[in-house]
Amino acid sequence: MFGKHFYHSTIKRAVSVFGTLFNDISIVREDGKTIKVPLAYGPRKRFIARLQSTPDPYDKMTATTLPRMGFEMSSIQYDASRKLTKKTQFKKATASNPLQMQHQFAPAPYNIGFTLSILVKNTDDGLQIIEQILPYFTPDYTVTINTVPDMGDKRDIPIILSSISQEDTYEGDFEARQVLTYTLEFTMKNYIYGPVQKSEIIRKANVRTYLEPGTGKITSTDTAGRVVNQTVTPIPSDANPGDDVTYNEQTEWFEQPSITYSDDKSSDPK
Amino acid sequence: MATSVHFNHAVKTEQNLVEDLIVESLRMYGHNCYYLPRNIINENTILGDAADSQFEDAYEVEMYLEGQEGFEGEGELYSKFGIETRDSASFIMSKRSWERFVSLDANLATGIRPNEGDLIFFPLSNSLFEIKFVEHENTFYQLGKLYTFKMSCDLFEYSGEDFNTNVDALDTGMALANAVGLDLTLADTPTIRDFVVGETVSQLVSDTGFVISGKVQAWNESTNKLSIAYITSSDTSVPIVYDNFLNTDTSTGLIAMEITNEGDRIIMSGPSQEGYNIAFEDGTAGIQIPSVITDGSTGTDNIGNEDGTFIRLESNTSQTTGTDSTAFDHIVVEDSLASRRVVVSVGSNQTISTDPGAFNFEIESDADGIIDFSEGNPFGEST
Repeated sequence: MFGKHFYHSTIKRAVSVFGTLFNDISIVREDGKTIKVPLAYGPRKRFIARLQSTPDPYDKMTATTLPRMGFEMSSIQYDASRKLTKKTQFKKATASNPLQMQHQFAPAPYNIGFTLSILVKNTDDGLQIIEQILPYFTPDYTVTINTVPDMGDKRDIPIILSSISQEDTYEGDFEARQVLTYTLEFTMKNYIYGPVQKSEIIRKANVRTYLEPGTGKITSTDTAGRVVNQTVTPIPSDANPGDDVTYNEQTEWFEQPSITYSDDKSSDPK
Repeated sequence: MATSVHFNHAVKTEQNLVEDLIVESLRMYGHNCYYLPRNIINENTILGDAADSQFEDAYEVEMYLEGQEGFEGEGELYSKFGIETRDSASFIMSKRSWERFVSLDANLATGIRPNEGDLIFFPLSNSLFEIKFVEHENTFYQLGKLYTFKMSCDLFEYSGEDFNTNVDALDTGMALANAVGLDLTLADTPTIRDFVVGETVSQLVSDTGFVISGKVQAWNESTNKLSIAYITSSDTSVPIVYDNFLNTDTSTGLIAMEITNEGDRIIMSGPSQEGYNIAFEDGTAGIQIPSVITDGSTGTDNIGNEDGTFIRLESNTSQTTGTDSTAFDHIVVEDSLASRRVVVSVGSNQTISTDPGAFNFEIESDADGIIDFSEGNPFGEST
């Protein structure tokens, strides 16, 4: 039913935006050593991960290098509280052809859930990382995103820190692996966009005003009395987007309809 | 009722015989491993952390690896943190070897037994294990005595610990290989010798005299990519201006050169030049010197003193290693030395080239085109 292919990489771009918030975190040890914390999007193809991380299986001296962080997209949920009217349109001239207009209907508001996981070896390492993140989220941190480049649309996207949890498996027998992780849950209040459609530039606007006895909507423009016809055209008539223009406004008056107007005369024809 | 006095199993001579047999068995069927005692530098007594541990000694001891079919544990796992190798192993070491070779190390928390947290390097598989638990009653009181320690180990999780053990596989393979590095792409100058992992390189900021230094982490001859770690700068201004390597073609006219701190020596390359040393007072070298001068045969390998005089290093010098060293407190390398290379490009400090599971740079590069940094007030209306 929908048919027309479109893809703005909105969600994929959201992943990069979320990740880049945390790609420059370091910890500093008491001896002055600085360790940059590696970051990766968690869900990767296993074979790619295996080939990248272990090209030489004979040179695998350690289990892993810590600390490190991984994040993943955990949910996509409609946010009815941010719903916009469906008929709202955004318009922009095509960059390659100024005579071609593009329009797009209002995006659908969706909350994208992200989980940031932090794996550390030492408690202080984890606390250093956490403390470099938390002050920025009160509980949201807002970034401005170029949402759909073709449309030049920018949006302020809040990213909300919704929960923080810590797990330290310090209890148990000595041979069990001790793991210290922090898990931070975020919600990105994003928008998902429909297709960009093309339309011609409107160079002539024609507005007619009708009056009809009674109340409610005008039932037929054939029977209603036509009062005013206004036509607006640019000067020059072949103006392109961005040109300096003036307007030619032409107003035509028609016969007075034989009806009784309301007391509100502001719209009366003269 | 007490045990019979006529049947005492704890006969000293028999115990010694059993212990001899066990030690001999371990030497026959075991492997040469390195025992690395942990030196805790800044123990966090509140949180119970030992983040700044150092490993400064490595004792070669024979150990028997339990399970001849391979390591135990879960093997390689893939999690949200990337690939993790969860190998585990149990090593058996004789009590006698422990007491003779390791137990007197000053960094041990206790010399009575192997310490949890210490490391065992298993050279056969190039694996480094951390001792999780030491079972001291393995083979329960045979002839009334204990002869071995059984150490349950997991593959080590590296987290910035320092290694200075004089075991090259550990010192360069662990600390240096895992340090945060910076990638430089150098000009393709195939006539110049290759860099050596572990040597020091520096860059002189010509307009300022500041020197940026670091240690070679990796060198790829085919791509001319040089990874440098432990970067330091002589720039002490606040805020610091020159804290990192820069492109040679910038206005500051930077030049990179290969140098070394190792033993504060120049090691001449080529026939009859190897082993030529010049020593100078420890710690007083303001500018470091090349480890190898590849154009020695052309006669350009001069070394200048602070007072402007020069020492000419003749290739047919009769000076020999260690005997004819000349002391200087400051040595400056001439600009004409051919061991210098041009830095074509400097990689991002977001790149963690030593960690294939790190994508900090890629994530930032992708997001740079998405986030609108022209927006000065992200909390207001978008513009």
